[in-house]
Amino acid sequence: MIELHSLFYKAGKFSLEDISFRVDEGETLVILGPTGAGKTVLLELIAGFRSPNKGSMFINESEITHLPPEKREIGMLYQDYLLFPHLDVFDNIAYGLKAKNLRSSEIGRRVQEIAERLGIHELLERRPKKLSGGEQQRVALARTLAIDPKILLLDEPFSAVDPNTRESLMKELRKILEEDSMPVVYVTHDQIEAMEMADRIGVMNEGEIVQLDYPEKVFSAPKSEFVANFVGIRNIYRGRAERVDGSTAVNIDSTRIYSSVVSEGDVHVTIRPEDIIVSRERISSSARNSLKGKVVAIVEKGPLIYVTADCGMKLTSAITRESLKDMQIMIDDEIFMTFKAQNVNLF
Amino acid sequence: MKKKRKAPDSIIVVFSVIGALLIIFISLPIIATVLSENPSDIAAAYGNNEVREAIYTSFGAALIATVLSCAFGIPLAYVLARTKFLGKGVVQSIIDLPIVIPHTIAGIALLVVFGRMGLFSEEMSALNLKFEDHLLGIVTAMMFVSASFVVNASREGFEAVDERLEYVARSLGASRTEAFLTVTVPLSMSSILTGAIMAWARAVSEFGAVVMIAYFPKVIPTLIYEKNLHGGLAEAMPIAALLILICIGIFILFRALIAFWKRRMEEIA
Repeated sequence: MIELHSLFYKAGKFSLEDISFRVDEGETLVILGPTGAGKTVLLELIAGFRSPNKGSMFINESEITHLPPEKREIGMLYQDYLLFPHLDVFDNIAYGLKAKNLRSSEIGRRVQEIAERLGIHELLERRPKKLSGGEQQRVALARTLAIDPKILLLDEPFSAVDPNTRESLMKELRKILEEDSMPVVYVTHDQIEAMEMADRIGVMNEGEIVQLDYPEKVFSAPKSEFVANFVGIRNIYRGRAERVDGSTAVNIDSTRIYSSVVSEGDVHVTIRPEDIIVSRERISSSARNSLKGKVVAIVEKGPLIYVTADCGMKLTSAITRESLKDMQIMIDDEIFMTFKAQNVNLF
Repeated sequence: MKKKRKAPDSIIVVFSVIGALLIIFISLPIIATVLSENPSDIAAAYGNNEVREAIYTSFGAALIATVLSCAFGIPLAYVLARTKFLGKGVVQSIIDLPIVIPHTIAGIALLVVFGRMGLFSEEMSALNLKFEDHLLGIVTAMMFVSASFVVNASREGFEAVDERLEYVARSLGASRTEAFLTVTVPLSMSSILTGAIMAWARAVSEFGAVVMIAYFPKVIPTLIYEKNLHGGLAEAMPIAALLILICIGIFILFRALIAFWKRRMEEIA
C-alpha cells in the first residue's frame, strides 16, 4: 500500500499541487492526463528521483519521503525503458540482484525464472539495441520485477510499442500485475488504455489531480469541463456477466443487457455513443438491447448531439442535429435506446 | 537505380586546396625531420643512455600526471556534469585557465607556490619534499597544463549519459556510487580515455612550464633544447626524429584503442 499526503513540488514554472492518494495491494491507479500535466514528475517524486517541497509519502505505513531511491524498493518503468545499453539482457535483468549482492547461482536462477515468465528467456544474450519495442518493454519489466518491488510505477509503458502488438501486450501486463498483486501507479494519456488498466483513475491537469474516481464514474460523470473534454463521452460501466442460453447477459445495477463477447464474472462494459440508436417508439430490429428511459441531458459537441437517458443505467447516444430536430426530443421525454449485442464490449 | 556521382561544389574544391596547404604545412616539417636523418643515427640516438633516460622521465612523469589528473579530475567532471551551483562558471574557467596562460608563466606561478622560496617552503622542508629540479616538479608542471583535458572530456562524456539511467540503477538498489561506477563510467569510457590520452600527450610535449621548475632530471624537450643549444641541429635532430617516430607510434595505438571503444559503444547504443 502506498499513500501520498498533499505532495507539493515546484521546479521553475512547473509545479505539482497538493497531490494525495492511496493505492492498495493489487490495485492499479491510472494517472490520466495530457502531455505536460506532470505525470512523469509525479512518478519521479514517488520513486525518490526528485524531492517534494512539502508533503509526505508512506509505503505500508512507514514513511519514505526522505529515503533515497535505492532504499525505497519501488520499481520504475520509464516509457523509453532505459535498458542499460552496455549490458546484455541477462545483465540488465540481473542488475538489481547484483546490487543486492546475491550469490551468482541464485542470480542466474532468478533471472532465468523471470525471463521464462515473461517469455524473453531466448533473448538473454542479446544487446538492448537488437530488441524490438515490445521485447525491450518486457526486459525492462523483468529487470524491475526481479527485485520484488513493493510498488510498481509505469510511465506510459505502451507509447513506444507498435499499435498491433499493443493489445496483446496490455493483456499480458494486466495478467502479470494481477499475479503479483502489488500497488501500481500507471501513467498514460490514452483514455482507452486507462479504461483497460485502471481500478481507479486520477485525471491530472497542470500539476493537479482534478478527479480521482472509478473509471465508469470518471467517464460517465466527469466533474469538470476539462475532464469531460479530455476523456470524451463514453458509456462505461461495471457489471457482472453470466452465460445465458449461449449468450452473455450482463447485469449492471438493476438493468440487464446482452453482449456477444463471451465472458463471465466481473467485467467492464463499454458501448460507444455512436452505436446507440434513439427512437420515440420501441423499434423492432435485429438489435438485442432496447431500453426505455427518460432523457436527462442533451449536450451539443461539435457536429453531434449527445443525448443521455436514464434507463436504469445512464446511456448516452450520439445523434445528428437533424435527428434531434426530427424527433423533437426534450429533457424528461421518454425514449428508447437500442443497440446490438455485438456493440457491447466487455473486458 | 544507381546514383550519379555528383561533381563537388566549387567552394568544396577551393576549400580543399586551401586546407591541403595546411596539411602540408603541418606534415612537411615532421616528415622532413624523420627522412633527413639516417636510420642508423636514429638507432644510435636510442642507444644513448642520456636519451633513453629522458624518454623514460618524460613518459613516466606524464603517466603519473595523467593518473593524478584522472583521480582528481573525473570526480570534478561528474559534479560539473550533474549539478548546478553558484560559481560553476568560475570553476569551469579555472579549469580552462592553464590552456590560455603561456606555459613559462605557468612554470613561474608554480615556483611561487612550490619553489624553494615558495608559499609552502617551510612545510615542504619539514616533509622533506622537493619540487625544484625533481621528478615531483615535472609531474606538477605537467599536471597543471594537462588536467583540463581530462576534466573537459570526462564532463562531456558524463553529460551524454542520460541521468535517468542512474535513476533506474538506483531504484534497482544500487547506491549512487555503484550507479556511477557500473552505468555512467562504462558508458562514458571513450570520452574519459580520449581526455586521458590528450592529457598524457600534452604532458609529454610540455617544455616551458617543466623547464622553469625542473631542468633536471631532463625530459625529452629539455634534452633536445639543450642539444640544439650546444651542438646545433646535427645533435638535436636524431633525437627529434626518434621522438617523432615514437609519438606517431603511440598516437596510432591510442587512436586504434579509442576507435575500438567507440565501435563497441556504437554496437550497443
